[in-house]
Amino acid sequence: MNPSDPNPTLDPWQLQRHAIWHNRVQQWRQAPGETAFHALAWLALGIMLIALLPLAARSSVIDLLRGTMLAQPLPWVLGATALLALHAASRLTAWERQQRIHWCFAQPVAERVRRHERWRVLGLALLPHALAGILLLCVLRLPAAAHGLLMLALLLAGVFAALWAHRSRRTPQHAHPHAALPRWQDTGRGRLWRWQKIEAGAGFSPRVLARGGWILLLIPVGASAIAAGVSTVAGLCIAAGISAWRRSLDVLLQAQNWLWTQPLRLRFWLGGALFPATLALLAALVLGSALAGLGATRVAHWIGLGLLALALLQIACVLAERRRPHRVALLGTLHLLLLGATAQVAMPLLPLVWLGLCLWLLRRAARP
Amino acid sequence: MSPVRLDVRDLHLDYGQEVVLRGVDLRVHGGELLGLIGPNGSGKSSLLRACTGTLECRGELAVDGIDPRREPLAARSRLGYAVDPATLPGALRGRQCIELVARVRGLDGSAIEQAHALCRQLALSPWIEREVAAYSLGTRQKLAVVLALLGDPPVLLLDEVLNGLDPLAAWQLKQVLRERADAGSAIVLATHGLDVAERHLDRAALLLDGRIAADWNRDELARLRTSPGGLEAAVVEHLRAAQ
Repeated sequence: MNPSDPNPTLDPWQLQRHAIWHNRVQQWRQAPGETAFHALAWLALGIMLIALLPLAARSSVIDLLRGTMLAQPLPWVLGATALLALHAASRLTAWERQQRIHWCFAQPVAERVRRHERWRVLGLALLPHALAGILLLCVLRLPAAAHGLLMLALLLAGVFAALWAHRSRRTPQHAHPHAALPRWQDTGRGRLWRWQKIEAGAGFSPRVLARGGWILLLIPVGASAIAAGVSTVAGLCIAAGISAWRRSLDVLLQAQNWLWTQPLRLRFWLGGALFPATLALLAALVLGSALAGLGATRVAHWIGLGLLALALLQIACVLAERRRPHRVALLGTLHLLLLGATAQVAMPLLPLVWLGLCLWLLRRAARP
Repeated sequence: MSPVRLDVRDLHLDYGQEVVLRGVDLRVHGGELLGLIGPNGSGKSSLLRACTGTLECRGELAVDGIDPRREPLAARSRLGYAVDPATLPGALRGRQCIELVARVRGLDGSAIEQAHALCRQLALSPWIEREVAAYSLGTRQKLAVVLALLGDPPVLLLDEVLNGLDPLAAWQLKQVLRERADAGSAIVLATHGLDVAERHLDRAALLLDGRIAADWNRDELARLRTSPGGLEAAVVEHLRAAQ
């Protein structure tokens, strides 16, 4: 029975990451064929994205953005700073919450090691935005001062997030905080779509809706109040829609985890596709109508149909794989590549290939 | 008398509007195996977490004479806390978890050897090279206990660690805890198992309405064992009186 003599410089998070990485490499080595296949699929996705970059650089949105940023840079920087700060604060607070139940919360870890990990989390929350921002500034060919403003925005956002997380850390909370409460109550017979509706409502938090605030940065200076209001509402709707979509798909997995022993018919599970499919249909209709209203009548219905088709394909992937939506990214990418190749080689066959993929996935979903 | 290893005086804790602890007084000496019992939501887990110094609370708190809020590093190196098995890192193997915690606590190879011996006692050894994600609840619980006992800390805080264990592992663990207590450790075991508290522990404290409502010592527990209803009847009486 001895008090141990902890090493104050040891970083348990780094050791854990190292061990996880070691295990992953071992798994890759044990299945070289599968690893090579996955690597090729990711490589193909990367090449596809890089190939799309020059097209994006020529789009009219870039001109709009450039005009907006040059016309009145201060509101743009302030808006970006506020949104970045909200994002970073939310990430850091989530990390603090997770640390209350983390395996090393009661271990003798020096405060400066914990602080170091906290800064790393904050840095990782801001890094993708910094890279995206630098890329955007390069594409827009803005003066060098813009890079300075971007760095200032990131710095201010980081400071705000650190202060916000510090405040939340000092407030005692349950180790397992209560789940978000639904915004509206529901009663009635057990149907998956009712549960999905409640979950979707629970996700309408200020943190989620703030993600839609990015659209504010696209509003041109001098735009009318109505246009600005409509754009803001559109941004909020997009953020709320994406959250509702993700949460409704998560319900399928949660239901699978605790209802699979119940004598439920296949139609119960397939009924779980109804709510996200309705969301997808609504999104496709709204997007198509908006594009048509803006004058892009020739492509409006194709874009709407494309969005619906891809959304239905993702639902089928989740049902078939019984994994969270972000875990079926590879499967989704493979299907996208297949559809993309078909579109290039034999466009008329595209609906048939899409239908075939969906049916194949639904057949997999029907397994016990 | 053995030294007081865990000293809690007038401890108050709240989660905003929700008051959890309203002046808890508890002293656990070295060599004592204390059962912390109480209804669901009475604050047992919160009290144990507060003792680690990770929650903001008012009152006096000392782990082996050290306040964990002022000197967390020194205090935490003197206590072992069994984390919630669900929070163990699923991507690591059991062996890696043991080595990781041993490194964090600055322990040498002999402590790791001791942990592996405990794994053999609890029938955890066949799982030690597999990833924690593949473990059942009971197996995760065994690993959480092994990690808490690593390095033989003078104070052990164990929250419902008998849950999910098979009968043999539960029996082995009770023997191990007895051995650790006899070697001088102060052990607090939060449990709902009144039969465990009655037969295997030295003391049982009932946490009710944020306070220690009753504290039965070894003699009183021995007397309760022979009385009709035993500890269960005594606890139920307190709970009914509180309603």
